[in-house]
Amino acid sequence: MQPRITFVHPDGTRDDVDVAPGRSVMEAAKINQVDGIVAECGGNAMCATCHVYVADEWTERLPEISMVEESMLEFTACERTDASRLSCQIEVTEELDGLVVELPEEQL
Amino acid sequence: MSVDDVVIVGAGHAGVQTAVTLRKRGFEGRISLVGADDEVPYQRPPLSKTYLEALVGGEGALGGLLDLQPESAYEKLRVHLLRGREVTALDRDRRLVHTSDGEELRYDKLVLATGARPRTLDPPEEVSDRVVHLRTKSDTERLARLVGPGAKVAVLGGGFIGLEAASVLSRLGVEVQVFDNAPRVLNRGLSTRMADHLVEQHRRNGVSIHTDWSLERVTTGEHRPVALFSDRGDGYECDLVLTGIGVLPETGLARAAGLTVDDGVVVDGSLRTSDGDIYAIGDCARFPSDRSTGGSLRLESVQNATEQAKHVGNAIATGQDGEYESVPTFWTEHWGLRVQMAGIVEPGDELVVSGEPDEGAFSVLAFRHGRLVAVESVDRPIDHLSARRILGDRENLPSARDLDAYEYDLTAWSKRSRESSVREVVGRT
Repeated sequence: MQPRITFVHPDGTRDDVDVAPGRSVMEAAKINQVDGIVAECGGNAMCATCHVYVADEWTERLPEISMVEESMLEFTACERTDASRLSCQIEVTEELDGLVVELPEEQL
Repeated sequence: MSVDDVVIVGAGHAGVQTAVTLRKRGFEGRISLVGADDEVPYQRPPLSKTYLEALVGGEGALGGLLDLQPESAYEKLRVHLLRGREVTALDRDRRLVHTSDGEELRYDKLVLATGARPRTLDPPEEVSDRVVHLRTKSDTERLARLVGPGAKVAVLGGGFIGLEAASVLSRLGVEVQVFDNAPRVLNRGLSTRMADHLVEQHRRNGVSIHTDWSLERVTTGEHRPVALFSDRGDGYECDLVLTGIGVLPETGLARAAGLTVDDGVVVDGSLRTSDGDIYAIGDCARFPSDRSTGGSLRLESVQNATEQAKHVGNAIATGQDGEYESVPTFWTEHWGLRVQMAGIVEPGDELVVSGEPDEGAFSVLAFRHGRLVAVESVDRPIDHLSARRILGDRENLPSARDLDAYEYDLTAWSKRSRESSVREVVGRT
């Protein structure tokens, strides 16, 4: 069974997608045609346009933020909070089944 | 006059973004988006990068990863997407656009996002199916069907697309040689310092680059299907010729309709053509900019297409034409190195290197008339994003001496200058 990721849009609507482990959360959105992720750089933590807000109960369960991601998060279009991550840096694993992330208003 | 009908010609990055922005800014009228390609509108940069790698490497098509918008988005946004259709004529008196299948589309505002087409070789018929360029998905698919590990490919033209493809193909076991008639490759849009660095990567990885090499003819080969000969008589046989010899802006429609054209559809500071109800954006448009010594720019980049589309979408939706201004950015990938560029570098700019090129991560800073005008970065994304901020503040472009005091650390300088401008504002009140 493939892990399920839920994307919550700024207007409250939700998209549930199933994605193969090994893909990133950014790719999960792109492959499943979820609007609201730009990923201008294609997943290299170089553009800060795949910004998401991770739901509270998940923030502790994700892999740690690398130095590169940390510095890129300073450049997101919408405000950076404690829940902010770059979705290209979150690899989908079976443990992340049920992950919920909110999409920001803007990426650019 | 109210705007009911908007027609967008061209469904690439610029055209699609215009439609999206129109709706996001509250435009309620009809939007028609006409594109020549049969596919759902897709991103072009991967065609010489990840898409090429996935197809030649056997990973297969990338599904929705290439789509600019999910296919379902067009219906949701109420965008009338006409795929696989060309616009054949423009009737400005009656405000009509004619399409190749005989349809007439009425417009109040028209957006030309026609892009550019590759320069081609016009090879003899017996080898024409083995001379390809990369502009559409089907171009990349055709190339991938013709080459695999062990194949020989000649890349004609040492620009971004040719060398990007050279690095992808070579990494997958294809033997690649690059031929260019200029004395240097990557001599457009990149500083000599960065170009040299990338050429070195190619050479180190076994890609031969032949400069001052002028093509005399393409013909069938004796041992391989195609042979190339230079004007000096030396030949090279290969399975496929990939041409990357530049593009020409698609201006035919504009020219035939009597709009001003000069290596691009000429627009004013609000991106309007010589007809105020017609805009031109993206690769096909020449717009005024003092970032270029020549006073105008025509840029072939995703960022330019997207930003200009947002500007025009907003202008039409709100009825407010403003001045377009944006820091041009680009990126290119070679042998796993990702180069990010901000600003416009020109021959003669003074170059300063920050960081350690030998260790892989560095930036080239370009100065003109003593002020920073462009930054090219390898594996220093923070430099790139700081450069965007710094170059966007036109009144306060730093000099080399300003930056020298911060050891050319763009982020540190950017933070300092923001703090000091905050202090100034506070001081005034």
